[in-house]
Amino acid sequence: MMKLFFISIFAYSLTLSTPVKSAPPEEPVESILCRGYSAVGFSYEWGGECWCSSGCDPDLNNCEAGICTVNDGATGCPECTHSGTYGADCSGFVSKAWQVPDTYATNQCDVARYTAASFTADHEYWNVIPMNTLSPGDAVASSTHVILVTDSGDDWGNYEVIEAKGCIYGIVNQVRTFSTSYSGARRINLTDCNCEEGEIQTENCGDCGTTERRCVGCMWSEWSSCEGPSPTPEESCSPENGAQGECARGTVLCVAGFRTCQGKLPSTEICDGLDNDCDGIPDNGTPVSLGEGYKCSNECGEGTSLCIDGVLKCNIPDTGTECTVEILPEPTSNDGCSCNFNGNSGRSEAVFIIFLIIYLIRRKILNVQNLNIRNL
Amino acid sequence: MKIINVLILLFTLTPAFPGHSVVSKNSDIDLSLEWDTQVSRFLGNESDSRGPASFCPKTDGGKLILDQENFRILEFDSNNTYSGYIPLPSSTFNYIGQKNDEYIILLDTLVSQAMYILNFHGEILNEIDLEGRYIPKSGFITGLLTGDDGIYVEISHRYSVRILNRNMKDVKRTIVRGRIVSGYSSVICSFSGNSINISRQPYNSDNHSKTKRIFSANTINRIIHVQDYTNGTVIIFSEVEFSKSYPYAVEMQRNTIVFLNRNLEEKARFYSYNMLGLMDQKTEFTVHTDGTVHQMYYGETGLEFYSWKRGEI
Repeated sequence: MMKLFFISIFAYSLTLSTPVKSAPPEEPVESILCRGYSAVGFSYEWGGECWCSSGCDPDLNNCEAGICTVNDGATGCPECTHSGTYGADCSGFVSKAWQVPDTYATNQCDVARYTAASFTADHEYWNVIPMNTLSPGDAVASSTHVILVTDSGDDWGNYEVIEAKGCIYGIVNQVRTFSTSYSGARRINLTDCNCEEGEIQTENCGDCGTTERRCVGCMWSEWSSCEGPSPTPEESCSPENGAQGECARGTVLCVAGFRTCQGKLPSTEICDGLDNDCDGIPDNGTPVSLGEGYKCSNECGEGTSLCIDGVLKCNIPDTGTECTVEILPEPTSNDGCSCNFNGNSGRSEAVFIIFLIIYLIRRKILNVQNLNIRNL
Repeated sequence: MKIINVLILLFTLTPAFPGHSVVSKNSDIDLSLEWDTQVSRFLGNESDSRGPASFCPKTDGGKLILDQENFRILEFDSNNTYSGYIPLPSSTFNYIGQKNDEYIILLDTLVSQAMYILNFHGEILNEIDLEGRYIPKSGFITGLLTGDDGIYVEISHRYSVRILNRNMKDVKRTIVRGRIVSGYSSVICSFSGNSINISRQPYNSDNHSKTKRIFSANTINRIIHVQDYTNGTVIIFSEVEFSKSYPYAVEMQRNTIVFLNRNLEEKARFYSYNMLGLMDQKTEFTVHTDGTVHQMYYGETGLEFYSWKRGEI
């Protein structure tokens, strides 16, 4: 009952807290964003609307952030207590960032502000806008919450925002999505000309990237994605302690504006003396991937293919190493291949050369797909 | 002449989208948990509202539900039977994942700004600060991803940062453009109007030869989720049409679930009319390796789970 009483008083005070109305200042969107960013890190205070700024940054050196504590058995405000001078709830935060209903300094506490629900309908200081036209400085609101939007949305349709999220979170800067239950709002008196048409600004970002924005229709566009070229000439690197085999060999790339070491990726283990699948052991693939177990022949007789020291050789039982020599596959059927010792196949040289050419062509093609010709 | 007739007949019999099936309704409900008795939520008053922020499928077909407001993870088996809970040290976690039904991975992107590794008894095995190399703000994390080579977090849907190796040990961080999926590959997606561009490539490769465009009947509002399963990739997006006049009310909306094969060719399409509500929800859909898509929906009376499976078409 007591709780309801306090909620009623709070709601009543909120509706009454808008007596002084002067139009919000003519200013660029950047001024709204600047006030918004300067609140990040301050506490959530139910009914609060003040924090300390140092330019666009929060001034947490000269002002305490405040502490919001949820009462025992509760999960959030208004069943909470706040200590410290500064803090804001969602609507107090947006009201101050928007400078409505008046141009109060960010560190002025107990001043007039609106409730979240106020932002869901047209007002003399703002207009409701479709949710698919949000841009920086706009607000999205429901009957219980309001959020300041700080970008135009990412490639997936999520937005960077600042919001006084709740007692256990404080005022946070995050990327989030909105349901269509929210509605958008845009403040009036935004100066609609911030730059000269065609002007381009470029900034460094990350540690190898650049980003730029263009002046379109007198307004700055969003900053482009942070990207940059990878180092030339190529720089080698070690991607990870413990990476094995081919995966231990890396190249420095510039990805999303950051230098990163991209190791070689594991691939099918083939008979080449390398640890292609990065398990620490070279040439330990399956007989199929290595090309082992197929019939082959040479001047010593008939045998089966075997991967030895990174080379596929024809292994003739009960013969010496001089007979175990490298073989070239010669596909003759779907279920394997017969292999000939080059130079003494019993076939004409012309036939051998044709097969060799076919093999080399197919091997080149299949290497691109990380497949093994011996699988075919 | 006979051959031409046969060809014409074959042509006319071929559907416009071979293998493209549509089920224009929600699936049957798999699991329902009543608000405030079985699962907790917080309804904001001049603040954000919250329900269970995230969930993930277990390898054995069950699921883990992050009931963070109750300081616990709810565990269900593959028959959606409650099998116990795992206690949590705080109520500010907002992402959950798991590996091999052995490790639980939790993210708290806004308060402690850390990743926690737990066993299934709730013991914290490791705690890693999220902000640092490649992650300037942990609030910009948009996904917790399990890859072939370890655990990643996704930043602003732009790139993925590797935090743990496949043995769940800290690593020197590396970065992959886009959202990592299986096969040491990543996908890059964007939408405009009523189409989505999706490309798939090996980690940080410039070879974007696998690029496809997916169309919808209505304006796409956002891409909700992209994840691989054994035979392909699932992409889920939201279609919304707003009224052209004040107060710009929603005229229609639905979530579209599209199954793609490894070449990003569409194989099936489903619709869900369970839409995101006012409560902040980090994970709406997940995909099990067997291709079952699960949705966690904040219903009026409780938390509801639905599923769709490519094999059911």
